[in-house]
Amino acid sequence: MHGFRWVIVALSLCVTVGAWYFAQENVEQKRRGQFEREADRVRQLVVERMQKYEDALWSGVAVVDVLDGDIAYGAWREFAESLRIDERYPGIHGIGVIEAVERSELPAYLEKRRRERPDFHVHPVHEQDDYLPITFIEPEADNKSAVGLDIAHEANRYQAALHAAESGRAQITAPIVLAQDAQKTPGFLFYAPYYLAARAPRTDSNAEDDGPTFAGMVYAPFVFANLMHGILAQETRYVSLGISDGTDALYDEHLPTVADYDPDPLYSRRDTLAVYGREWTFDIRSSLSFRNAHQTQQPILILIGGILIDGLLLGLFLAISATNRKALSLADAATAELESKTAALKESNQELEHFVYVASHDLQEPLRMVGSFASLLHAEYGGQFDAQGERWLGFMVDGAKRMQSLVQGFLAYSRVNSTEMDTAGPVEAQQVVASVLRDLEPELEESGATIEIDNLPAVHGTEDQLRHVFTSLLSNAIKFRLPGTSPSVRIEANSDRTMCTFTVIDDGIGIDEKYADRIFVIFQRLHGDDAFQGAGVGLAIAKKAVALQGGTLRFESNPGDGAAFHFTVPLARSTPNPPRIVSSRKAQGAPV
Amino acid sequence: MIQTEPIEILLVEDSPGDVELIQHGLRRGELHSILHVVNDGEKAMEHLESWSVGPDGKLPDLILLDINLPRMNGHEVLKKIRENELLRAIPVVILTTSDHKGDVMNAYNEQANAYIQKPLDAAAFIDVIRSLDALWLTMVRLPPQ
Repeated sequence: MHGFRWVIVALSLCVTVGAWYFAQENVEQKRRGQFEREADRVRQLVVERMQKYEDALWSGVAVVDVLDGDIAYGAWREFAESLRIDERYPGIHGIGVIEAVERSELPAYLEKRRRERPDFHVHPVHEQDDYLPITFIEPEADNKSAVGLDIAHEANRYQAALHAAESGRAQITAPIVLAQDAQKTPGFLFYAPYYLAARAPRTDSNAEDDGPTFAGMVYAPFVFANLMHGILAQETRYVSLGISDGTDALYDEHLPTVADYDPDPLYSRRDTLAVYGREWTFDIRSSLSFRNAHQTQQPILILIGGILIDGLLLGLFLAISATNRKALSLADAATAELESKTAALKESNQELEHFVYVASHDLQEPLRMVGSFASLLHAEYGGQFDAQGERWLGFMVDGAKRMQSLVQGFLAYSRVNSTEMDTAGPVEAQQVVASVLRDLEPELEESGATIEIDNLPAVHGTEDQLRHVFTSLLSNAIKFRLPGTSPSVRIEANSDRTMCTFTVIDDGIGIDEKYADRIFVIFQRLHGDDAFQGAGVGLAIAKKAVALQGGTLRFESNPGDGAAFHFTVPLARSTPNPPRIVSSRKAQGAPV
Repeated sequence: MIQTEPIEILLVEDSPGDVELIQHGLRRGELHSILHVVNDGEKAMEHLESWSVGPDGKLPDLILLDINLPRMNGHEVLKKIRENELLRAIPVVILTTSDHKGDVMNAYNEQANAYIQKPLDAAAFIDVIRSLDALWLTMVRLPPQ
């Protein structure tokens, strides 16, 4: 496979991975943003709800202030009912009043409260100086166990109460278990302190000024699970929440039993928030519905799609490579087969040529004996034969001569062979033609032929083979002239980029084109011995010589109107084409 | 220039017909020559070597050598003659039916004095032999014995 194909596949893979990465990043960014908003919203809900409860407490404080601390059971119930707790403050267990009672004032306090509720008592017994009994809690039916409960008996409740008293701000307690919660789940109390000016100054040493004195707190008890249920019930959430105060867990949704629990949340975060004197840690995690809502196949689809395309690309390239390799190996095999066949053919041709040569040569020896002694017999003993003997001797001599001519033809034909092409090079056609015309001078003179020659180029081949061609064509042009005329022959040359076409045109007897196939076959003759002499090898040799040089030989003719033989041969290499010369000249030695 | 001594010719030729034609041709000539005939290359070499060490040490004045010979061909015979100090001066005329270019070139490279192709026609053959006779026996100054 080519290098560039690997580069394309690698680049494509990079693009795929890049696209996947950026899609992933994009999705991740969006999803994280969504989580953060959800987390902020849930935290905000809790904070806002706590503020709402605080407002309710302060409204309680306002009622106490209006009544100047002298609250009647019925008045508080009326106020509590007006708050419509079930409706407006879901999650709250009730709203009540805790009064600060000094030890000395306890009997008066108890007496006052027993006037309204005879069974009222403060419990349990403790060792603090002050009492902080829960005077009212509405709705009382749900909070019966809290009525009269002295919150000073327990450290968490008491500490927060002291903080509230000192700071004047709303406070919540550390996690406690409410007396009224049968399930014993975590809860807390939410206090809002109130102060009364009319009260006698405090006697304890901590009193710093003569300002209003801490007189009690409006409070609300919370069971955390209920609170959260109240806050979050109506919300569609994509996060689960856990709240802890220090190491104490207040609330925890991160449990396998919770429907929307995600054991391996996509995101989580922990915020610590100051909430009315406590530090609450919010542990917010994405839930299963978040995971489902943000389930996106886009990046993975991009990745799979991209890899699939890359795979196809790779497969395609591999297939192309395999096909190429196969084609190359097929081509190699075909070339090798062709080469071996060509070599075998060449060898077989050479063997045949050698056989023809040897056979002709060996035939010639005995033939020469027959011919020689027949003619010697005729010359020296001719007188001793009768007429029939003389005639028979004549047939013998004639037959031997004809046989010799055929064998000579064979020899000449076999000598035009491919091994001669090993010596091929540039040959000046002009010089070859001049030399052929010198050899044919007796025939030229005898026939009175006129020869016209173009300027002929140098061609690629061997001088001998070109000579065979011109000898054959020119001697035929002279030989096959119209009876009683002097032949007129013209040699033309036309070159294109690589080949030269030579044409030998005569005005002789012409050739019927139906013999086109026969005239180039060895020993094929169209005329009886008496009319035109010849063994019938000239054109066969010419055709073979032209073919060996990579050209073709053909003719055009109308019987009785001359013939034109065209043959092509390659131009000599690295020799520029000579321009065709239009003017012509008479051949040397040709009679005018 | 009239030759008084008959010259001696060694003809190395395996074809009895050719031997006959050559003898016929020489007989037609005016001049006196003695023709020794051997019909293969090895016999030719034996003949030449025994001749050269014979009592009178007489060598042929001219050798007519065919190329296609049994046992040792004309090229080999010519090579051995030219390598032998005693024989190398003897003129050698190749007389053969072969007109193969390679044969002609080899013969001259091996220092043949002439290469003649046997004519196909009997009369022409006889003419060639008579011309040979006339050239070598009358005009050519042969190396002295």
